[in-house]
Formats: sequence, C-alpha cells, structure tokens
Amino acid sequence: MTADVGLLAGERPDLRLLSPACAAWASAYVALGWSPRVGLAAALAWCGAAALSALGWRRGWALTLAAAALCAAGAAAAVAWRLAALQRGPLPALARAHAKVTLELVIGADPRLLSVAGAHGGSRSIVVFPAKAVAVTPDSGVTTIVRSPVFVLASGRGWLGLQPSQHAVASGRLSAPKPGEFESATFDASGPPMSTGRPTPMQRLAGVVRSGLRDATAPLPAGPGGLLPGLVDGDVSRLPPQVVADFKTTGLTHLVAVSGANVAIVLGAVLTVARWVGLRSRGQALAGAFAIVGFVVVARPQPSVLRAAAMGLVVVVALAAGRRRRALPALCAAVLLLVYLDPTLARSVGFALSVLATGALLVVAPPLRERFARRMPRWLAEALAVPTAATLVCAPVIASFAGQVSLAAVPANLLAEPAVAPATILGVITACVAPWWTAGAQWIARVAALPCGWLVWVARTFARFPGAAVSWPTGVAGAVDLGLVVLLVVFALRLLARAGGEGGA
Amino acid sequence: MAARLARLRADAPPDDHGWAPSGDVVGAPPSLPAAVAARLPATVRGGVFDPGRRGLAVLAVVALLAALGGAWYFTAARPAAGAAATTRPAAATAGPDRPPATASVGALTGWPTATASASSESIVIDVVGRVAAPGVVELSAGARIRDAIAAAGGALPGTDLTALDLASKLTDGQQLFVGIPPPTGPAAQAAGGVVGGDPAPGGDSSGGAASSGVVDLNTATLAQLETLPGVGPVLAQHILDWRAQHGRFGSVSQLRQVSGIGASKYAALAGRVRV
Repeated sequence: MTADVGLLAGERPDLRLLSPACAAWASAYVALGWSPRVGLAAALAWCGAAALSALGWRRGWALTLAAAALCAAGAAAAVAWRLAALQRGPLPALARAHAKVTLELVIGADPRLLSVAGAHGGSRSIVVFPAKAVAVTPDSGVTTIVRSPVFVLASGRGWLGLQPSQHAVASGRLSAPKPGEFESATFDASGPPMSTGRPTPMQRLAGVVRSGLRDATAPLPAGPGGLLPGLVDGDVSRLPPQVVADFKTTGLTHLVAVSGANVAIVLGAVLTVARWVGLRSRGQALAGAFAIVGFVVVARPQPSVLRAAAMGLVVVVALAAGRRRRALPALCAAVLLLVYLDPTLARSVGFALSVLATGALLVVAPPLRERFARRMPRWLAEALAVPTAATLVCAPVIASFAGQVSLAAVPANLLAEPAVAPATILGVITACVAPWWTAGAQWIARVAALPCGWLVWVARTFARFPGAAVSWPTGVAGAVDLGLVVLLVVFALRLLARAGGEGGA
Repeated sequence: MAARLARLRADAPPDDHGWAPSGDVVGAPPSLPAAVAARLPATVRGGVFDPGRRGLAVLAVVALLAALGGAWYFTAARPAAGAAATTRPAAATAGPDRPPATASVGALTGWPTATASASSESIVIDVVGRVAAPGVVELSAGARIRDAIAAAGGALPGTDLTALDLASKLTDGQQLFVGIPPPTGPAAQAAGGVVGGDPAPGGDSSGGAASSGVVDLNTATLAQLETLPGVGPVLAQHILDWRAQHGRFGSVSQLRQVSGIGASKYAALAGRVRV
C-alpha cells in the first residue's frame, strides 16, 4: 500500500471517520430497502438524533454520536432522493404495462455476453448491460426526455462492442426491474440498435487502450493470455471458464478481474517513479491522481476499483497537502464519499469485500504479523498475515453469496501474492505501449504472461485438492454462522498460543 | 476544543489498555465495552473517535451536500420540458440536436412514429462557409455535423471547428455554418452554427424555446405549450390532440382550427409560436 500503516510510537489511531463511515454505509444499506418517503423521514429522524446528542455537548461521546447520526441522515436522504428519481417520468408506468417503446440509451457499461437457458432446452446468448434512458417514445408517438437507469437485455449483432457513453436507439419492450436492482425498468431490445453515436473522447481513448491490450495478448496461451487483460482492465472475455472456476474455488476471485489491489499497485508504482524522477510532493500527487483517473476510466468504475481509487485520491490529496498519509482514515473517507456519491454501492458485494479486505489489511494484519513473527521468520510472518487477515474477514461475506468456503484461500493467496504486482505493472505497461507499438507490446505481454501463468498454475493446483472449497449455507444466516466459526477459531488459536507460547511471548 | 486537538497531536503514551484517561472515553468503570476495547487489535486500540467541533461541522456540510446531491439527482430526472434538460450535464446529451425544449422524434434520429412527418430515410443539409465544396448535401438520417462537413469536402485548413459540436446530429433542412458566424436574426439563435431544420429544433442547449418565448408547435410538449400566454393544460392538450390527428402544423394559422382558440387568443399566440 502507498500509505503508512504503522503508527508512530504512542500515537493514538485516528478513528474519527470510522463511525461516520459505518453509519452512512449502514443507513444507506437499510434505506435502499425503504420507500423514498420512509427514507426521508428517517433522514429527518437522524437529524433530530444528531441535534439531541449534540446538545449533550460536554459528555464524552456527544460529538461522535452527532457526527454518526448526521452522516446517517445524509445517506438516508441521498438514497431516498435517488429511489424517488427512479419512479419519475413515464418509464415506470410503461414498464408496468409491458409497453413497446423506442428508447434512446446512453450505454452505461461494456455490454457483455450472457448464456441463459432457452425455453426449449439448450441455451442462448444474450447481451446485457446497464444504460441510462434519455428519451422514450411509446407507441402513441410522443417522445419524452427522461433520465432513467434501465437494464438492457438484447440479442443479435450490433450490441457487443458498444462502449460506455455511446448513444444508441432501439425499440423493444419494457418490463418491471428485477427486485433489488436500482433501475426504473428492464428493457428487452427486440433487434440491433437502430443508430448509434460516438463515445466521448475519453471513452474512445479507453477503448483504444483496451483493444490494444486485447491484441497484444492474443498470441498468448488462453490461461495467462486471458488473465492479463483481466488484471489490467477487467476484460475477461478471453478467459476460459475452467480457469475462472479454479480461481473461485481457491479464493482467488479478486485476481480474475481487476480489483482494488491492482489500483493500489499501479498508484504505488506511479508514485515511486514520480519520486525517482524528482517530482516534488505536488507533482507526485498530480501524477498519482492522473494515474488513478486513467485507471478508473480504462478499467471501468467497478465497486472495488472505485473503493481503491477513492482511497488513493484521499491519500494523494493528503500527499499534496503535506499531511501524514494514514490509510485507515483514507479508507473511511473513501467509504463515506462513495456511499454519498453512489448509494447503491452500499449493497454491492464487491464493494463490501473490497472495504473489508482493505480494513483487514490495515487493522488485523499488523498484529497478526507480530504474533506470527514470534514463531517464524519475519518475512514469512509478513507474507502470511495479509492473506490470513483478508480471508478471515471476507470469508463470511463470500459464503453468504457464493455458498462456499475456500479452505485453500490462505495458502493459495500466499503463493499468488508475489506474482500479482509484477503481472499488474507489466500488464499496465503493455496496455500503455500497445496502442502505438503492437510488436513491442506483445514482447512485454510475453514477459507479463510469466507471473500470470504462475497465478493460473496456483489456482489449478489448489483447486484439485480435495476440500479446497466447502459448501456453506448462503444468505445472512450463512454469513453469521461463518462469522461465529471464525471468531471461535481465532479465540481457540489465541488460547492455544497463550498456553503453548507463554515463555516465548 | 483546543485542548482536545492538542491532546490529539501530543503523542500521549497510552496506558496498558491503550485507553488514555481522557474525556474522550465515557467515564465508565471497567465494563464490558472497556473489556472489549482492551482486546481490540493494537492498530485500533485506544483510537480517537471524537471528531471535534470542527470535524463535526465538516461532516455536517458533507452530509448536507450528499442530501442536496440526491435532491439534484431527483430534479434532473424530471421528464420532458426544458427544466429537466437544462440541468442535464451537456456531456451526457446528444448535443444541440435535441434542444431541451423540443423533444421531437424527428430531431432525434428519425424514428418511425405518428408525429414524425417527413420520411426519415435521408436528410438534406446546406453546408456553407469554410468547407472545400459548400452546397447542399444529402445524408442518411441520424447523420452528424461531422458527416455533413465531410460530405461537403471537409473543412478548409485552419478552420476553427471548436464552436461546432461535431458529434451533434442534424435534422432535415438545416443550414450549417462552418467557420463563419451565422447571420444574425431570430432564426440564428441556434447553437453551434446550425440553423433551421424541418422540425426546427432551433434553440441553444441552455436556454431553449421556452426561455426565448417562441414555441415550436410541431415539437412542443404539453409543458412547453403551457408556458404560452393564456394556455392552460386543457388548451395545450387540445393543441397536442390536433397535432396528433393531423400529423403536424403546416402553418401557424392552423392554430385557429384548434378548438378553444378564437381570434383574440390566436392574435396573442401568433407571435409566440412557429412551425
């Protein structure tokens, strides 16, 4: 990581943003399940609670509680307004009526191919992507300008390869959004897009980089060649399904597609180079911010990338302001800001895992490392502490949606860890070179394929072990169960350590 | 406050449990919370939670901004009419081809609909100014300013195209001024050097027809018609009904045929509408 994790001797950890961030997150999570009215009422109630606790000024926790309540109020209000906005315009009513409409869409994310079971057995491929409807024309013929997020299901040619920010016109049928999705409607496009616009210049540039990287990795074998673009820009279109399954089984899912760790690695590399070149702190910060923004545009704003990018920006701002860079406050600030900017992240599993893993890295890993270091060489303790902490903290969440617990996660991550940074950095260099020098990019990609091949090998080897993954009940119950198991295991280990290591400790 | 900050900065050595005896900790005897606190990982033990008064103020502002941002999002999602479109970020829209006040199908891409009048197979654009071959060009429906300039032989070297939104779509019958200012006059209020057009979507992307006061009868929405003097929702609906029945207004004078518009009302409206 790029921020200081350790504390100066005697310094008290800065947790001032911890309760506001947690309160905002929890409040947004809950409010996303409410109607807008209830959400706004809750926001007012939180404001009242904040006022009440602020009145008790002198008591120790007054300001802390007031801050948490205010942040919860802000999140509830932000959610309520957004949920209310989803119901605006003609789209929700048209969706309830299953109306045939013509929509002008702005593509929200790369359309991806999905295999679904057909009605008569077999499977068919559909293209799915989120989009924003900007104009709707029902059969009556009166066009309305709207601004409603929709989820698009399409088939046929012409949809794959469209890029975010492109406009497209298509007709089809609206239906109610899937429950739990924060959209105004689902749009079943009946054919190819009638007309399309051009992406914005920034997205065109991102498209050039992505396709360049795809071309540069094309000659490589499928496993590492498919993984490399995934690590850099999240493009997993070439990755064989078996490799993806292996990564899931061994708890390496965060390596399949780009994640927060990759952002941190790139930011760290850029800052190091900037310092090397002799840039002052302002220049370093600028270079870092530029790298972060570029990375988010190219790799697409997925939850974990956003988490890392926001955190990185906070760190970079601290760098520019000459403040001490402290990671935990940066993480809290990132959570708070992102929940405010896009409250739907509060229910995103990817976001939760990213935050939890980072939190584990910052809070749980250092003491774990100290503990391990009593019994093993320091480098091993260091290497073991990070995956252990992240796995222990993330396992309940993963179990709740994936229905399995990966027992191989800690050793697999331990072995995979050293390869991630070289693979990412070489991949980014490939991506930067590819648009203007394909031959050179292919050379670099060949080197980058070595660590990628190692990752694929680790996943395949560990996936073969019996019991690599144990199935577990899904849902909240599963998460709570596993959380309790983790706590019990930790407690038992502590007792064992105390009993066995009294003399050494 | 000052004392609290000072304490924050001073590297006060934590006691055994990591809890410095300070006002930040509720003055409770060693209880369950204290016992839990003492067992927290060293990285967070004895942490400072109190944001201080200034911190509280900053967080309050941030929370307020979040709530206001949500409200803005809600406002921006308002359907139709100029108000919604003016709050839309320009980058997210297709450009001046769909001016906020005139949500016309024809202006968009020529979709087949009841109100779209002319056939939308192709459009004819008059390209004038600093292009290699000025003149009338025929383009496929949905063509953009970039295509029109290309069809006219391309812009001459040294022509500044920044004032033109090259990505914006054209509509039939428009005149495109490349590198020269459009002639002044009521018709030339259009943005980006584009003037005229069949559904006449003139009007810039910020103001729109509603603010300039002239409403296009063939593209106006209910809300825009209501901005006209003496036009309420009922009369506005009558106008829309007439338009739906007849396809489009051929001239402003056909307004007289709409039920509810007599001579005096027509006189009041005639100067405020166009076709």
